[in-house]
Amino acid sequence: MPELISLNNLKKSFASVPVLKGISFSLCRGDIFGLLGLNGAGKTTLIKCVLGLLGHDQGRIRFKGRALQAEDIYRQCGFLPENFFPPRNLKGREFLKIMAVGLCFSRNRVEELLALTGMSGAGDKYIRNYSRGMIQRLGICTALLKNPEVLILDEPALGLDPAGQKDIIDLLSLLNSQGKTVFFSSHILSQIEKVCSRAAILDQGLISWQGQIKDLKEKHGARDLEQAFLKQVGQR
Amino acid sequence: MKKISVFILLTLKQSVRDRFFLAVIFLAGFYILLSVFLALLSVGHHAYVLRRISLAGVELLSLLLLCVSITTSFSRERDTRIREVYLTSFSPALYLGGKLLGYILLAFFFLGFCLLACLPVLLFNQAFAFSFLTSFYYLWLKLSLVCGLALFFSVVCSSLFTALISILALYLAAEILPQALVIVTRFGSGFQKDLLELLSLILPRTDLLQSASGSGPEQAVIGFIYCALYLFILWLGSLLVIQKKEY
Repeated sequence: MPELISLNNLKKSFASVPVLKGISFSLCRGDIFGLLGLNGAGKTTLIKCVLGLLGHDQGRIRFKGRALQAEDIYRQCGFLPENFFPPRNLKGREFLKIMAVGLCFSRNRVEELLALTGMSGAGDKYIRNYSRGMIQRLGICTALLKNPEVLILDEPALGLDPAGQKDIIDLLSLLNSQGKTVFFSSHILSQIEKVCSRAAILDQGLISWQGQIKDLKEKHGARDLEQAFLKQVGQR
Repeated sequence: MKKISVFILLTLKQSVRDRFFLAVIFLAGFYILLSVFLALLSVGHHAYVLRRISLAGVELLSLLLLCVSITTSFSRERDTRIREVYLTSFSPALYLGGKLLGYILLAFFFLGFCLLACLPVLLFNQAFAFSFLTSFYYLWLKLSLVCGLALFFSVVCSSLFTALISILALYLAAEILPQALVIVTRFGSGFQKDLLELLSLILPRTDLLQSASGSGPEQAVIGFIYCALYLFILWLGSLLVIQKKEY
């Protein structure tokens, strides 16, 4: 599959403390790619660097074979951050319609996305009354508004109950089957094992492993991803 | 234009529906009614005092509304990470420009409400003067500068409290600078005079944004142009900071 985003020797430090120590991997078109790592491994920093929200000190980020431009992010990358919360005094549908106007998409697109995420019934409620699961769905709608080629999500199922986690994972799977490339970070290894075509483990600022999950399990002779992951990061 | 309207609309809708805005609106209505009783205490200058007290109260409440709304909005957007969503779909220039225009419009609507509340009170007490209307125009220009300063400090300062204190300190300094300059020019040393003249180049010139008796429409135009230029510089400064800052 052709490469969509590729990172080559990406380095980033905060006040001379290195957080990313030379990250290299590529995201291919049609992938559903999971990024795993312990707390503080640098997952959010890596995502922010890819999206241009943080500058990087060294290395290259390429989009479709050429240097990534801000315009590529504005048009082709949908993003859902961790602990996202949209303006609380607006209604869900209203928020999406305002955003759609700015992104030059018709208001019908908002209805399509609300239906896709199962939010049609809650669109006229104030966001402050939404549950965590509804906020995440609204976040995914926001990320999809510009019809991006790639969807980047930072801990999309964080703080959700098991049913909510399953809904989000099923939704990501559905979007991937509709042709979207999905890249997400997660602590919930069962989610990654269930849906990801490929994954990478970020450990102390370095990619310690990347590939197909079954290969990692075989490498460590583990029965599930959790066991394989812990062995890979040296916790067991 | 469509893109910038996103942030104007989001800012306006979010602010107008906020409990703090509703509280300030209630307070403004209450204060305007109270000003009638305060004016009654000044025998012989009833009309003048009523106008001045109303204006001073409206200015103070608008200042409070804008400073708190802008700083808390930036702080909330940073904490809820919605800013990251905005900045991956729109340029920082649009984000800052839209928010600035949104708050300038909020100031306009708030002043419009206050003016509507003041007019019947002034007319009923035979205290209305045309200068009262022009004062509202200049007050709007001054508040627009406060919006610009609040935007700048909200972007520069990581702490909400620091941003709030910085805006209020700068506003106070700008307010007292013209009088301080007059005093220092007459009685101060050369160094003091140079220092204040330097400050007058940096701080907003509030003396240009006041309705003096006999001032015509050209004063209003000069004030508007000065305000637009100053806001442009503040927007540019905020843009440079937001591009350098890492979130």
